[in-house]
Amino acid sequence: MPETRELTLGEAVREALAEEMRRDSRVFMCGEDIAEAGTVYKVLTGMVEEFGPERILDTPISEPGFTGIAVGAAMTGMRPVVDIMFGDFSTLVMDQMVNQAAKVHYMSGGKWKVPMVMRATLGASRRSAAQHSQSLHAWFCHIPGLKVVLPSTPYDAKGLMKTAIRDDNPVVFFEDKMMYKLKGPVPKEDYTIPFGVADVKREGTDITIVATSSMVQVALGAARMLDEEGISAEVVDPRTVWPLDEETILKSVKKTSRAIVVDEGYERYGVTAEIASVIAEKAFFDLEGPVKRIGAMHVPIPFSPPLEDATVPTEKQVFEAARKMCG
Amino acid sequence: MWKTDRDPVKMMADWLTAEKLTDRAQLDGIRSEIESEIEKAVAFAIDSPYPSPDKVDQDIYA
Repeated sequence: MPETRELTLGEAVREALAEEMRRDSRVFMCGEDIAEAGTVYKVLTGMVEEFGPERILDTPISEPGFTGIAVGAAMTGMRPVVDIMFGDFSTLVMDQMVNQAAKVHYMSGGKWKVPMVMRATLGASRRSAAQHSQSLHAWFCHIPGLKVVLPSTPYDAKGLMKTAIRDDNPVVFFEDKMMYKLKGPVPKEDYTIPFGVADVKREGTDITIVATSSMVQVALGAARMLDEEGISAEVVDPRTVWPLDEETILKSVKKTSRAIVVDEGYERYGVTAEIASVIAEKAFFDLEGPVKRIGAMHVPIPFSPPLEDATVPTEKQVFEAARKMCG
Repeated sequence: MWKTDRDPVKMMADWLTAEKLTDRAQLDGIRSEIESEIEKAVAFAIDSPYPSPDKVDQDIYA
């Protein structure tokens, strides 16, 4: 049996980064407060001590600048990992990621590649207000040339981060800030998880709940509640929203004939919209009824705790939607 | 005029010459070398056939 330990999701991400930096001298990191501070969430604690300030580059508050530097470094042979801290600051680097990183390989006829990772956080319910609480991953899914990763467990986070660093394309890696303390088993030996392969987190027969990132835990909680009502829910975690493992999602839906899609981004034009369309287009005649989407409420995420809590999908909400569909 | 007085390429060339790090002849040589490279690239592009439509979704990812 391979040796495993319990790690938090934050520790799993750090371990993946540290192991890849030991393995490959071309990997370096840049971002705000990533060196001595070890990031806002202490995910990178100890990294600058091991790898030094030339590989753990603390930058000024200049997201477009250091992301642009990373795109250039990646094009000329390095493998940068950019830390965007709050995913909300993605707004500042859309040109670097969308107009540069995502296009270079195509526009150069495959002569140039951009092997870089952009790390960012998503997720609300931390009382951080509207500019530090958004889940904007759908923006990146919209762009050909990018890959988008949403880990939901420490095991997945480590294996997917290693794949992201070894991938020759720009990869956007979103970590839910509320999950950094989530614990789970992580093997000690080196492993990677391929992109585009969903994971069935819980098997069931009555309804499929497709969930991403921290919404996987919400879906699993709802599934436990449904179990008490005699409803068997299957939870499917795509793990990467692009590439998307349509096959596993459709196989599950064809088995259960009911589907809910839960994601913390906005429903409108979002990840839930895309996955629900895939199911409606390709499994329509296997469905008992319409696909249900559950995402963030379409408002700026409020600071006020009772208001903020009303915007995020909950176990109860998923449970009630599922029970109604199975009724 | 910022277009004529503050062109960074021109200013750099002036500075390099003033500091005697290079001279006009070398700079002119670099310029004509690059111009000929561009001309060759443009000629190659014009002389090449258009790609077949089935190439449209190639090279999106490495």
